[in-house]
Amino acid sequence: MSAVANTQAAHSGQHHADLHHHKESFISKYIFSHDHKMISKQFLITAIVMAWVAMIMSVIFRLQIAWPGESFAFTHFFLGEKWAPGGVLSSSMYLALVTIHGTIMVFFVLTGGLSGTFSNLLIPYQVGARDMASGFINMLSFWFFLAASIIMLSSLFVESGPASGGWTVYPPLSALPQAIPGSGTGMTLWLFSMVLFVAGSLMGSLNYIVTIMNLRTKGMKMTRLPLTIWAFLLTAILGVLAFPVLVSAVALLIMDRMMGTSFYLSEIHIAGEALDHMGGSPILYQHLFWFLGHPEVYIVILPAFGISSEVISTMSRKPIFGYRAMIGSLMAISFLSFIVWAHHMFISGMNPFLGSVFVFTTVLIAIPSAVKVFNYITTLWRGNIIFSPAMLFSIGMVSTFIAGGLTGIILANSALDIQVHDTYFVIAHFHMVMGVSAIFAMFAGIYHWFPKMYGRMMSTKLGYLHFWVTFICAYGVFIPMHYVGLAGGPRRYYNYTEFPMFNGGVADLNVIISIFAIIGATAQILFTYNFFRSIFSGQKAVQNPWHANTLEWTTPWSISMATGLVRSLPFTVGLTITASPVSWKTTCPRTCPWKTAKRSIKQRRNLMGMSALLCGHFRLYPPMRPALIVFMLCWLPAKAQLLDSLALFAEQTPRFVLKLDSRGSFISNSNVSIMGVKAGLEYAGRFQYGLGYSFLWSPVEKPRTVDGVAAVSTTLRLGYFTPYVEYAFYQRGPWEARIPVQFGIGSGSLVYRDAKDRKQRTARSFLLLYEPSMTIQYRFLKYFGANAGWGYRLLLVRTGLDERLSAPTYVLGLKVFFGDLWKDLNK
Amino acid sequence: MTTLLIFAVIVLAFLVVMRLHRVSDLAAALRGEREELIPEKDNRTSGRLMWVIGAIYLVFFTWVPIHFKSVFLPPPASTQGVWIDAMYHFNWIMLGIVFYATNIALFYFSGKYFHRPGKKAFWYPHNNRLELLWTAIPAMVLIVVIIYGLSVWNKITAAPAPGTMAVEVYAKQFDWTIRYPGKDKQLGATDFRLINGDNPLGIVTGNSVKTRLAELQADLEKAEADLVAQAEVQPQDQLAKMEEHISHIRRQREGIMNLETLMKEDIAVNGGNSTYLHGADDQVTKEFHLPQNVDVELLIRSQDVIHSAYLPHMRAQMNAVPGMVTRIHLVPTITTDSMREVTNNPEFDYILLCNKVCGISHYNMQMPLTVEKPGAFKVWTILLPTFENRAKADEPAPADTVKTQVAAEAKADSTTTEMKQH
Ligand code: HEM
Ligand SMILES: [Cu+2]
Ligand SMILES: [Cu+2]
Repeated sequence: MSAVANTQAAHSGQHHADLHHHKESFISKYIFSHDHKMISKQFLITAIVMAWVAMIMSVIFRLQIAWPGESFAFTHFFLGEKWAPGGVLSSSMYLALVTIHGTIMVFFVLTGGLSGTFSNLLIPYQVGARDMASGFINMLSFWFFLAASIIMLSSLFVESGPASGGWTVYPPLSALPQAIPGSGTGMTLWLFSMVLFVAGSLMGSLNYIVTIMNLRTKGMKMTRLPLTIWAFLLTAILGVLAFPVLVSAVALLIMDRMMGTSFYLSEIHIAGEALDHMGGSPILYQHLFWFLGHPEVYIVILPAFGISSEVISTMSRKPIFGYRAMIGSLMAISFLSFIVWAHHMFISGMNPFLGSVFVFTTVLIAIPSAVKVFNYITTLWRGNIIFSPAMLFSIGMVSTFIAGGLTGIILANSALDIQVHDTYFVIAHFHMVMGVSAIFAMFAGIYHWFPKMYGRMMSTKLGYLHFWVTFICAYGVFIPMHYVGLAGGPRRYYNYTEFPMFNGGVADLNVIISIFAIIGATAQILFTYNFFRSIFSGQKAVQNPWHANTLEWTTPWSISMATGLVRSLPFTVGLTITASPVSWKTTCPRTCPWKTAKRSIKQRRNLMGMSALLCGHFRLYPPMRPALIVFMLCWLPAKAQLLDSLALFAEQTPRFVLKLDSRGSFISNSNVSIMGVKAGLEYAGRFQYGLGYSFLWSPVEKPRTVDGVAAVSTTLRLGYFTPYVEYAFYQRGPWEARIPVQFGIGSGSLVYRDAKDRKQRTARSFLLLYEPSMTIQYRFLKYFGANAGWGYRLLLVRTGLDERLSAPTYVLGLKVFFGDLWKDLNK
Repeated sequence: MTTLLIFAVIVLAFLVVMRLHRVSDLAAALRGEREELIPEKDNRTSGRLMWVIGAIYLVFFTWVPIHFKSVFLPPPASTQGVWIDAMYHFNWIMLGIVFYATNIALFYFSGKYFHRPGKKAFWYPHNNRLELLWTAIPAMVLIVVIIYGLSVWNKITAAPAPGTMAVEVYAKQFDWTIRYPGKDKQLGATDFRLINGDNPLGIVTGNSVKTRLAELQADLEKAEADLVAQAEVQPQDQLAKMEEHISHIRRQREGIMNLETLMKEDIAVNGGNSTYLHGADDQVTKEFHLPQNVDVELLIRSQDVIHSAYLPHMRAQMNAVPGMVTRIHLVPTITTDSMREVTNNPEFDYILLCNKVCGISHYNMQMPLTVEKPGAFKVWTILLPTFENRAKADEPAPADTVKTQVAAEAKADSTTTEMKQH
């Protein structure tokens, strides 16, 4: 079958390229391209540039650690007299370099670079789609990424230096320019860059998810997807769930920096002055950051797993061992990765009991990791291994993952972590398990799919040399590093000369590490040279050089189906994502491009029509919904702060509160209001919980067919109990910001009047609702509070009510503080 | 200079490799060859290399800790350190077995099964029993690891018995300050707004509140006078800044006045037990001593950013977080002197270092810790000036009065200390 498809595709591809060549300008082809292949190349090349920047930084600071205080022309060349007076790296620039090195490697190379390149390249190919669901969003995601990269790099040139509090930018250090010069303009740029980065990465992720879920070709069931696609899908889901939390953490940090709020700051006396900030908690930031941060490390490693699975199975000429177990372990890892974040905070001062819980979940994550390793090894067993450079890198990846995964178990034990937290042991752990593994998988992907990207082969000889030198150097760098950590060597130290205990063996180890690091870094010239040279003069590739059997190799490399066809208008962008489930199902587009073209034209008309329709109902503009959900997720972990303050609140005597609660919302396009009463207890004016009852107040009527009689007017009834918690996370003067979250448990039904005018029920259903929201309240005249806010109501169960109950909600209300009134009246 | 040379040589070597590669490519093109993608020869070499380099890797991995034995920390000097080290041994053994087994399998299989012409791979897509087995076994082993780990963690973080000696460890950019509770064995209350040159920890006493208020009053008057004087000359935004500064001082003053009221109320209610009365006899010092074999609780605070109090020899660490008090509870078991003998290093000192990046001099935020016999410790603490008397202590005290005082107090306290010993 594939042979036929190939020749056919080859023809149409050729034809197609001719057809469109003259229409495309340089700009639309290479710069503002909507084509997934071009975008993947853009990501890749940006990432290579960024990786070089970050790697040169690492060489500079490794020189300093191994030979402290010595002068290096290399350092001086890159940093100049200001940051390296006399060729000696300055202490503030040292911290800036480790910070920017970490940020670039984790976010720009291993997240943007790895997912951006390979998700874009492989998803449409391997699921058999024409292109990504939205070429335009895809283009935007790259441009946001590029803008973020440029801003990050530009922070290297500001007067006070780039951000220098470590890649985790913990406040108060990152919040106070008095604390470290890098927390001035440099930090502002860092934060700004991260916001853009997250925006871009969200656009990418949504696109990947929609494409995989909706644009699979006929017969491409979820259980037949290549493991690469499974990995990219789960990565994208992790990204969508985790990244908004980083944005909220960053947003709060920006407010602390610029508007004098105190989310993270309290009781600080710095530079001879007591600050006004009171009541915040630096630990809140750590919760928020690691709630992203830990899934983030899996966002890095999952695509790496996907790539190495594919390469190992292809090149050992065997199916991957335990395909389903591989998917299962990917899923288990993804799920667990959301409930382990506080293992980075065992000694942050959080409650030790909380620590125990996270020990448990963290150690569990080693189980699916172990399963993956065993399955890789079994795939190699009795294989017929062809050692392409990609295969070597994939095997290397498994090896480094083993080393890093095992030290993970040490760190996961809070008692052991006491000793090595924030030492070089942690650095060694995550470089093995994330840094080296993911970079190896990225190399594997590049060597393997280079023929698909550029139609040429990279040199295998240089590839071999590149692999062995890199592999040896990676171990040469990171094995000794474990022992520096076990010796108590702290990370982020400019030098160790001030400590006699680090002057003997540790200093020797540091020299060994740095020498390997320098050789390893230099070896990357081989790769870079090989890469760029092969683009122009590599050996011409045959269509399926590795004899793989995934779909991407069934078309010649030059085929360019999508370019020029998908040109969605900006305002249909959001739409394509939500509208796609209905209209974007395509069947086998590769073999019948003319059909796709026709469909796409028809579709454009559809989209225009729909968007006109939606402008009329602006309030329900569908893209709002994913946006809202994403935004709501931001606020959830703000509640993490509760964990630390609950105990304090419980010591206070509670006050009784009684509330009348009216909310506006939408049910299937119509505006409704929902009334409720609530009674609860409030602690310390901040934390409230209680129970209420809510019911649908305004009539929702619709003609329906009941018992075969058409157009009977039916009315919707809803009533549910609402356990709720409410937390005021910000209080200043009369202003207060609260996050009320309620659950709804009750029932709904459709009611009509029968021929005898008796009330009858046609459908009845159990309801389970989840309703997070956020309100701002202004208190005036002592007894009154005006409040406004918005939220989202999510229906968690399926109902037979034929109404869309999930919708945004809004709250506009007046509160009367009866309690205070009562007290004053009784005076 | 030599490193630069080495560096240049390495770069040159790579350049040469590339040129050679280019030449061989061109030569091949001239001969009109179009070689197979991965020739048999390369497969065989790579397979062999997998064995060789794999073996070298495992040897290197084993060699480093043996050769660099000297970097390891000396035996743990606290009770919790002993537990933690025992746990390390257990975990290293478990993980070591897994490490060698998986790596050997990985490199051995990759080296053994390289492609040979005519060979076919073994079709083996899955085996549920095997997969179940290697899910269940790690799960069971890890459960053991968790249970052991949590039992140690719970022991380490258990709340200390009431009456345990408390010592404050106070972090600021870029040094440590220690506070001992003094005669009443209780640390007094603190407030960050009271911090000034004279009161680095912001200890609350009637006097310190009064001095600070007076200071702020003077600041305020000066700032207001400045504003009036500069009103004509300075640009608008500068004036706004000055006004902001004035209101900042006012807020500070208000805060302290609230504190004063609170203090008075508390003293009225609790009398001598009020935490505001414990500060006067606290002893603030730049030296860190702990008694051997005595339960101590370190209360850790920070003045500005997050620091981390790390005592590698005690296997203890805890972050210092502004706005919060964090704790380490430990029993030092080996005196500095005995440790000097054990390590055969007369210069040896325990060390308290900062292990959370806190600014440009983070790398040198350290303080030696001396562990000594309880008697010696007692003598040493009694000689420390108290917070209230620190000014007087600067004047040399008549030698014999101090001596008699020390002797008397040491005698009085020795009974209680012994009771607390382990
Ligand atoms: C076997 C599974 C793993 C376990 C049990 C584990 C456990 C841990 C623990 C407990 C820490 C915190 C150590 C500390 O700060 O004191 C940590 C740090 C870290 N881990 Fe893992 N880990 C595992 C796998 C991974 C993977 C797969 C990645 C990345 C792909 C990763 C990346 C990191 C990073 C980046 C850090 C350090 C972050 C920082 O402080 O800068 N880990 N790991
Ligand atoms: Cu983690
Ligand atoms: Cu520090």
